[in-house]
Amino acid sequence: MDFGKTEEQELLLESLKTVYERGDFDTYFKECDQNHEYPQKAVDSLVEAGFSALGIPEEFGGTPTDIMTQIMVAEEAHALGYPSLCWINFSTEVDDILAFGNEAQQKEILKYALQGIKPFTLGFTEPQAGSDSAAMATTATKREGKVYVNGNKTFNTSADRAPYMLCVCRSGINENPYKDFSMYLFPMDRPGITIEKLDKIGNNMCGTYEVHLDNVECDESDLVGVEGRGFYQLMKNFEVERLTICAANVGMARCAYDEAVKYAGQREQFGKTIGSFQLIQEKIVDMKIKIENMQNMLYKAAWKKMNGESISIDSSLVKRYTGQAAFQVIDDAMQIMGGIGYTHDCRISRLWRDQRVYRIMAGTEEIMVHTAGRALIKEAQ
Amino acid sequence: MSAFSAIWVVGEDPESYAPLCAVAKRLGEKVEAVWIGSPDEMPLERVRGACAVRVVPMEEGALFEDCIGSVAASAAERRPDAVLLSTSKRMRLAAACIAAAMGTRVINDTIRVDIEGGALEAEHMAYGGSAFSVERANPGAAVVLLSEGLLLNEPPADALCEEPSVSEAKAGAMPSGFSLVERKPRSAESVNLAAAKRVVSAGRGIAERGDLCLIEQLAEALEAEVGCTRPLAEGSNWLARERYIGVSGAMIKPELFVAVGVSGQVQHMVGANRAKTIVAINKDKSAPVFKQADYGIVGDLYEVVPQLVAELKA
Amino acid sequence: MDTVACYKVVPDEQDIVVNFDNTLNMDRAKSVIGEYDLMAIEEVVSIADATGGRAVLLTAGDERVTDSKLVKAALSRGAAELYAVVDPALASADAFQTAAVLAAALRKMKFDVALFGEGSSDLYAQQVGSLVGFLLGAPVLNAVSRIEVSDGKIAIERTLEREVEVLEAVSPVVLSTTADINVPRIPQLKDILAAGKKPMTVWSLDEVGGLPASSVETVSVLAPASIERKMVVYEDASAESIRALASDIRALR
Repeated sequence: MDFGKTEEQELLLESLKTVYERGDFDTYFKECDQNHEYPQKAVDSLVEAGFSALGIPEEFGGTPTDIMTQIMVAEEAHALGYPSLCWINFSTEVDDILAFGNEAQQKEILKYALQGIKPFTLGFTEPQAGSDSAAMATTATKREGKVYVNGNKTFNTSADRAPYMLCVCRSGINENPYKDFSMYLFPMDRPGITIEKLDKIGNNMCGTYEVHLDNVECDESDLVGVEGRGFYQLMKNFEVERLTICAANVGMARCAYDEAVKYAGQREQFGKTIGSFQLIQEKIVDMKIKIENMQNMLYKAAWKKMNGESISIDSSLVKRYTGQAAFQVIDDAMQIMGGIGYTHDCRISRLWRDQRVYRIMAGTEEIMVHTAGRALIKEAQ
Repeated sequence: MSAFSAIWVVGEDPESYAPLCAVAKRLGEKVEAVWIGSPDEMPLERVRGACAVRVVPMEEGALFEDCIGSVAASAAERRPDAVLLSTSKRMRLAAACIAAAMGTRVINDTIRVDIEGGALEAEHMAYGGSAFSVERANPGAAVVLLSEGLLLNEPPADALCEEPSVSEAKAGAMPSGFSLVERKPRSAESVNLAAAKRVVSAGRGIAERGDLCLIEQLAEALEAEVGCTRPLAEGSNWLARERYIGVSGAMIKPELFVAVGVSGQVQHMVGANRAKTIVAINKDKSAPVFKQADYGIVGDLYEVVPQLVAELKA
Repeated sequence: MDTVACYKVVPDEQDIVVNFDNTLNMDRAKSVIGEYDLMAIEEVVSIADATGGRAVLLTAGDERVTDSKLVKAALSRGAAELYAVVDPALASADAFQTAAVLAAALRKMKFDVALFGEGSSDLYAQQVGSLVGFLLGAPVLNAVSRIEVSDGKIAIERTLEREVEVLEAVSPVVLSTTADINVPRIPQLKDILAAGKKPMTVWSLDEVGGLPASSVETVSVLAPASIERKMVVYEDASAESIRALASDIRALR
């Protein structure tokens, strides 16, 4: 079994570090977080260094990259201190459109992905339909050769900047909701679309919105994939999305850990460094164990995916575990930092706010029990 | 082993010759000053201690570099025991050419030079300031660039020689191969950190270029020069490169060094850690600079500096 | 124009450990390309690209210089191929010996512009480029802050302490750059992948005429004995603390 990174992966991660250091991003992200500003400057430097091209096929101007490498890059970016939700590899979006989009849609979406622009906000969650996706009520109604979309979507990341929405709608062709969903891709500047910003506790650099869709006119060609197959199309790609979120979890945990451990070795109380106290050492050891476990689970799932094995159970397990473990690591890091960790001066406070959402979004940790639990019992029969 | 006797000195400015000759006189009896330029520009009182002055006249329109070749050639031919040079960009090139002609390397940025047991011993910094390296060169293989600090602190030599003999050498058998198109004075102000008794250094704790006025005010109150860490000079260009203190910048030994918003990375501190007293202002209590300081205050420089200036002026 | 950049593989200074006897321990230091050499590499690539020429790299050292990751790191920066003189003796070669070896290697190569960085990031003696130029008998300059090539002429801007010289020459020239001549590129994945396929030529010392003797001996390399500092730290920025600090500073005069 080979636990080493390839030379190419190591060099790529060194390039990432150089981008980060050259841009003096630590200071920059602190400002952006305080001002609730999108870190455009950091995005631009990463795009310039080719990071947005990773995972996009060559014929669209990208650099084909295996999922493992993409995971490592995402993890490292977060370990350096890069804010989550502003990460520029849109592997989920890219995969969705490559798997189900037509040629025109692929060209259009990948063009934005290449520029580090989130190509679309996913219209999935609705005020009444969170974990219970079957309760989704947004409709796509066909009339005189056109399709009209009506409904409300919420928790739409970057709805202010994304040029498109990939909207999951009821088509009204099947009683069974799971066989009735269809996906439509339409520009966010279509008449009838209004957005409303949500006031969150973290991830300040990336806005999250409620999107109101009032008779938004689409063409039938805006359909992505097959009518009535929208739900299954989405589910397939949640696996990839989960892995990238897990990579962010591991990275953020490492970021907090690095800072706290360094501090423990320097901060003196009662005439010695706090790192010499066993209560602090215990925290550090347990944090490290969690980081190792998270990485092992994550890399193994990525490795299975690369080798064509199913990760439907793995992705749920690793999502549930990394969400919780990363939260615990960051929380312990804050504890080690003491009062300083609770101030905006220390980035651990930001990680503490930002990471928390990953126990909720893209499938809550409870839903992960629901998805993995059933499958594990079934598997054992 | 033959002793050191014939020492050549080469400087870029007439001013550098007095300390160059003084160092040379410590190392060997027969000091010869080589001057590239016009003979009138080299007043003889500058070369106290030298027995001979050899002028390499620079012809109209010629470059300093057009004259290096002939100095190097005569060094190869006459083989002085040591060649000492002041340090500047031009002199680095000149030293390398002379050394190459003599079949040796340059001992650069020397902060101490002596004769020990028949060999020339010179000390200089290496490994990004992590270490000082001591080199030994035998007569005929010593080409040494003396640091500005060493030259500044060298006591003047007694005039032991009679009036030196002045000779003129031929310049141009080996022109540099470059022709001058234009010469522009550098917009950068002239800064001499090495000569400053007190230095205030600005680090990355300074958020914006405009805030450098705080550093200037503190420097003014202390009658100090302003220095900085590398990112402020090379990344952001907020300050002239001459103000950058550290591994590839100025190496200073002031009486007082005040580090403001400087974390204390070795790459910077190595340039200043020979200061007699170090004061640190930093809001990060765990910044390594406090471990290297005599006095420190934990606080936001934007609050501390104005109050400190007021106190110092009171 | 055909260009060549020379670089040195150095221990990463961040990994250098000081032993108890103040000697340096580099056993755990990973090898990296000298920080300032990256500018030379960037510059030769941009000159070659602008003039339709070819940029190659040259290095000399022990077997560490052919470490495949380091080779990829070097070649991911745009040059077409790498020449390396490899011998265990080169690990401890001094600047003159290194320059002699590089000069001999350059004689075997055809080039219009040979570039060196400002200095190596370990010893930072800033002389190898100038030594090489003199040994080759080629026009040689240091402190070069801009290079522009047009109509076969090489225009050079040289930044000295108090002036900037604009100079002109015809090829071949040997130049050492300043650290701010450019901002070296950050290699992208596609460059890193392509680097693994680029050719490398390894020469033995014999093939470049051997190693000359060194006439300067390094007696010791020791970490400086640190000056004892008082480490009086006022832990808050109160008016009293600032007043106390001011009086400490005044007492020094």
